[in-house]
Amino acid sequence: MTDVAHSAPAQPGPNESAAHAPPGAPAPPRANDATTFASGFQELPTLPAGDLGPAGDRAYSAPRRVLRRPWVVQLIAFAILLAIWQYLAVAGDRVPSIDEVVSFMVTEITGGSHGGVLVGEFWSPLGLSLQRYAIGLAIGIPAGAVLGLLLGASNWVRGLLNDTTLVLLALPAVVWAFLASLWFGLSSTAPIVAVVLTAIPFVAINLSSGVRSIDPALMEMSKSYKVPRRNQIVDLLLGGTLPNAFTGVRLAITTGWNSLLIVEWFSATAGVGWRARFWYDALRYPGFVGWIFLFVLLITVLDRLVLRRVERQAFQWSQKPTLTFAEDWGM
Amino acid sequence: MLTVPSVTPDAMSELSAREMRRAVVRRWFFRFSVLIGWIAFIGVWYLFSRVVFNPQQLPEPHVVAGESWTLITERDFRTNMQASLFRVLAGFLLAAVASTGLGWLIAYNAWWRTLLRTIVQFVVSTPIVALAILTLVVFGVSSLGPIITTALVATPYIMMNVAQGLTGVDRRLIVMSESFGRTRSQIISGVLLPSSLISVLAGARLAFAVAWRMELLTEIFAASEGVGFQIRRSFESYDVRGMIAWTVLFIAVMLIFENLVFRQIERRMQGRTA
Repeated sequence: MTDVAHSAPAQPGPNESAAHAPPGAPAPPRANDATTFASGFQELPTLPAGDLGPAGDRAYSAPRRVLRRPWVVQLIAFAILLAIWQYLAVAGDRVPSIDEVVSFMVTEITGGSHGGVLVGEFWSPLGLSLQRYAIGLAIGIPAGAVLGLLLGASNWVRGLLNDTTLVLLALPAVVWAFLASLWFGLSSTAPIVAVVLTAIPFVAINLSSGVRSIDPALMEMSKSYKVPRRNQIVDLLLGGTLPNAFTGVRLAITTGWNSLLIVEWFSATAGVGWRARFWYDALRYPGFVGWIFLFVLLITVLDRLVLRRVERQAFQWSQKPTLTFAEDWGM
Repeated sequence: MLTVPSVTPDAMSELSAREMRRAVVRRWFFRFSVLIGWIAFIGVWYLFSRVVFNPQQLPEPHVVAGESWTLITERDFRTNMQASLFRVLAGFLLAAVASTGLGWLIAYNAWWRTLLRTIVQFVVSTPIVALAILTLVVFGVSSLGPIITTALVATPYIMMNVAQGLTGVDRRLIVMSESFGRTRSQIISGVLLPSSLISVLAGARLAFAVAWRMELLTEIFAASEGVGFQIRRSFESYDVRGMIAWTVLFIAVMLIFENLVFRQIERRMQGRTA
């Protein structure tokens, strides 16, 4: 694998972006990865530095071309992650192996017996957690949006509440989770409150910076040209703040899930976090790792397949070019 | 900090005296509202601890302040804070070293870029609490676990910005240096390094913010000393006073670090490259 990567400069000037661009279509600006440091400074990569193209490069031999297909590289990446897990399972005594975890979770989902009186439970803890999560977000996101609009629109409110919002943002989710569980005990209230409290500052700060980034000259112009109020709101306010609003909502959703698990881990009698803790305390590590994995899987799928795509659309609508590596990679 | 509308000398001639007065009034009005905001924050805190909850569930601000002071004067504070700070810095340095190499790779090589992109997207989407708990399983209760996990979480942010810095270098400067017969090492230390440093530092700052949150959370699950461990111990003994006091102190130390140290380095770097 490394051989492929390092052999690139040895090829006689294979220009990747030209090689696999469809004929007639304008070639996308892509970094010329065929240059390394050794072949000269002039050919530094430019932004946006793209990934490997959809087809392999013709300058490479057939097996190497396969290794350069994007989905093959992604497969290799996941294989590396799984290999690390399997290594840890063999090397460490507490880490369960992949097949142990899978078979445990199958028993858990089908409601089979784990030995003794322990019976698999899957849908009830998951459903309860999702319910708490949804309620928390349904309260936290609108509340954060109202706060954010006020912070962005009025200097007076910003002076009053901006520092408080920053204090709330600086507090780690775990502290909210602890406070909520000390205040509301083992009920469903504690997780919901923790989700609400972590969601509010993320939405508010991002939305307020969105509102404040609207060009005041545009506002003036729309006023002097007597643009209808509805159009002002839809085109100016919504168009200008949507990308920031989506970023705020996405962060609220991902960190809210985080604090939900913390509350359920430390003080709950039901839910995903409680179930993971239950198996941890019972020294059944496959069950514990399985639940954590499920927890990660849910939010990763939601984050990657839904939220980031919607966010990207919003950014495209507002014509903001994605320029940095971090933005291009969705971080 | 907050930006307030200010009057620059250049604009002064343009503004009439009345508009200037208005700007000054507005600025004082803003400062006044910030002051009111803080008073209101503390007032609401008192209200919550007296009326909504009881002082045992949420101690009053002055009690927390007193507790923080007691903690600072105790020996416990120094050992725990040192342990946490050491782990944050060790993890952060580990991340910085790894990032230098990985950032270089993803800036220059599309194959590695695709590979690392997949791994980074997976790591970044993973909730940090899941990482903290998995640290407990893999490393047990130890000092190594928090360091490794902190490094793992901080690496993508620095790495991205190393690549960003390398791609943002002005090529004309490099071409010029080459035509003036500079050696490779001179170009690296004189052009590549200084012009990518600003971007790297911006990433380092963000990475540090991520790192200390991760470290705190990992300590809550898998440590036998440190601030996170103390917060957990306070939580388990229903000592809200100690919990808030430890949190406040830790955040204060980290914010001081973030703002003073990184800002100082940034200022110096800007002075050198300007």
